[in-house]
Amino acid sequence: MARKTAAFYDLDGTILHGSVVDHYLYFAKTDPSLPGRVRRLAETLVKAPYYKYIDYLDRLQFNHEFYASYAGLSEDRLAILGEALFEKVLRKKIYGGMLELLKRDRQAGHHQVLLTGALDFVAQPVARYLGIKKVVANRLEYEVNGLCTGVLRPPVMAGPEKANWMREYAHEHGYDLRWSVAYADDAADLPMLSMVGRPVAVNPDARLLATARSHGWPVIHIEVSKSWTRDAAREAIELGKEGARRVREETQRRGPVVARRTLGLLGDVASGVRTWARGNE
Amino acid sequence: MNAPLTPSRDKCVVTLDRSSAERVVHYGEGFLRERFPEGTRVIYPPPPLEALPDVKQAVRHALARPEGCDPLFALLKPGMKVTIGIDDISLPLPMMRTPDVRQEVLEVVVDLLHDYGVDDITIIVALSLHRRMTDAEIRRMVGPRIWREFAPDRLFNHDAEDRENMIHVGTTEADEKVVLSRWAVEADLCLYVNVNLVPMDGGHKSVGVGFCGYETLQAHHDPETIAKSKSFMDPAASELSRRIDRIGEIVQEHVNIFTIETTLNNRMYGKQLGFLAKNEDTWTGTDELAFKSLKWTLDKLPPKAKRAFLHKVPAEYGVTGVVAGRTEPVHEKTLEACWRQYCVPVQGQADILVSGIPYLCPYNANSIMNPLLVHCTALGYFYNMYRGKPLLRNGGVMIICHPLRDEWHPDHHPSYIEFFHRLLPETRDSHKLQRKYEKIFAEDPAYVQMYRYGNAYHGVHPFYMWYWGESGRLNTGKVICVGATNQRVAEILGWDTAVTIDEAIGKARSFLADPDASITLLHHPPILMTDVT
Repeated sequence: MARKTAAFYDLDGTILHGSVVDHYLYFAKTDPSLPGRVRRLAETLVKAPYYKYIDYLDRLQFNHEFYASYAGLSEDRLAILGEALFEKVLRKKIYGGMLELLKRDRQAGHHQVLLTGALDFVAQPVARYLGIKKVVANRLEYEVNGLCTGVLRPPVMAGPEKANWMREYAHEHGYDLRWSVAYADDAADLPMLSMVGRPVAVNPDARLLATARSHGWPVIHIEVSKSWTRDAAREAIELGKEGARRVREETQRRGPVVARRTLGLLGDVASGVRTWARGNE
Repeated sequence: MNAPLTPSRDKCVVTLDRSSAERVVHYGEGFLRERFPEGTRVIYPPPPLEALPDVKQAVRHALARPEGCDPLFALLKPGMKVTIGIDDISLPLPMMRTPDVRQEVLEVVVDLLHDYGVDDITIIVALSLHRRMTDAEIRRMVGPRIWREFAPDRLFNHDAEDRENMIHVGTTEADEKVVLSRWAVEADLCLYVNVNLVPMDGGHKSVGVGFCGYETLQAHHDPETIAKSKSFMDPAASELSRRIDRIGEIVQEHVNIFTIETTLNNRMYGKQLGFLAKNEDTWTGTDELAFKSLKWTLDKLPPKAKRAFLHKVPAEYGVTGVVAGRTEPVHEKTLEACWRQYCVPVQGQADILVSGIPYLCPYNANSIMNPLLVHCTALGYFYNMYRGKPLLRNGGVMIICHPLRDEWHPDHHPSYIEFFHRLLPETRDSHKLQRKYEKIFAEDPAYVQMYRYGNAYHGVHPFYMWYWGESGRLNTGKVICVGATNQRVAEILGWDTAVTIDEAIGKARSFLADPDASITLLHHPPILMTDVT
């Protein structure tokens, strides 16, 4: 009987450039209320070093703490924005080399599984685009009114939990993990990589690189696709030009109003920071 | 144009007596100095052939008076598309001092092409499934002028996994698929610039292997072919050559090939290290002092530093011949030049063959000589350095000297690590490995990715390294590694170990149940081949 094998892929940093923080920034940036938008962006900015630190220590704790930021966002909106996030941002960030690799994995007969700590509404469109049928991602909890509580529903896909899930899934479906393959970029995914006989480090961080070297695992360096950087630069320039044009026009037409709006915006920022400070207290 | 003189072989075979000096044996990135028993036969390489005084002139001469076809200029038409294939970093070993012979040939050829209105020129490093060469390595090989004119768009590495640019051109009568690079097939003229270091190189292997992919290599890079090749350094007795020639016939039907083959002498060491190729009984005081200094320095350095140093020392090879034209007649002349340089007549086979394993083989230029490559060098290359009869008798013992560290280059040889530590402990049977695992490794997406975009040997390459030793494994009774620092590595390879040469010889004689078993020491490199009668 032919051996059944699977290929497990981490998402952020492995299949595409970026991290779960980038996804949240997109949702924050598109918050309908200006104060809410500013508060969420400012909060993320201020907490960034802390997030970096706890992610280094414990991916599970990071997930719990970071996903609390989603509190108050509505389920419907997130589902719709998940699609928009993919179309507008993530699609361009997929590594070109990974597309080829995924195709070859499919040809090699591996059953493909996207196993990620990102949220389900973010991972689903990516998986659909890549032709990966099985997606396992983190899920948020919602209140009856459809607003997110900021709590993750178990099992929380991070570190050892990914490995547990792989073991059970392989057992249930008869996949031979000794000849299965897993791809990840971060030392937090070492348990996931250690579950299979053929782990691969993709653009690894220093800790994963050291482990991969000492175990003789293949290390793939996939550069951020040139088209993505070019597109991003072009987009940034266009946005800048558009913004400058609008400000110029607005200033010419209603100078004092612009000044008032600018002051109002600064007030909103201050209020957002105050809200965040109170919340932390 | 070939240098005519054949050097004398009088002093190539030396029998040691009680007063003979200790012999120097390669030991990875270092040397051992050992006293061998009385009666040991030591085989030294023949002295270097005289080098051509003006290589470019010889190239021009070869292009104007080719073998089996019109001169190159007569084959050119303005506006035609020309692809030039060149051998990769596996040749020559060590890398030769600059200008590399490929640079000299390319400069002449490109000038000629331009003179005749041919500007659509692409140069491809025909590396088959070897690792991609880095820009610095290619630049060193082709020289700054060619690099500036062609890199990177018209000078690049062959990519056997670029499926869109590999074309199935035909199938041989033995059902061997011939898949070649689009650049070779679609060119109006395909020139190949070869460096023929050993008789296994060149001929139909240049285009038929250099530009091919896995599907074509499968036809001859397999245990059965290697076992039937006695040896693969002797094309007339090599099943490998026969199969490659069969594929070459199909290649010739689809590719208009003009071959330029070059041969080198064996002046591997410059003046400073020249003593390493000399009979130790003839060493002067200066030689003695130089050796002691070299050994002392190398013994003190960590392996990484030793490697960095040794890989930077180029060989002083001189070009002994340039022949151009149609593949078969060109290669015949090239082979003659190879035999003239390397062959040493030897009377009688050996019961025990001793050989040091140096720091370098065709697959670790600027890299690590890992245990699988040590195996390939010993049982693949060194065992097969014969024409006619093997130097080691059937069932004899091969003693090699190497530290045999469990050390691998993770970017150059990633699939070797898995092959060695995962597959070999399960089985050393080549046929079983081929049946069960070769395809998995060959098609592994991560290894393919590392081959295409990194600098890794193809995923299937470690299998070839193992198959390469098939003939040696089948015909050798035992292999003993002297100075192995890692017992587990030796066990995986199925080898015995010994601390000293004396102990190894004792073990070998005991294994052969013959206290008088004859001993032969192959004192190489520089390369030598034996003609055993």
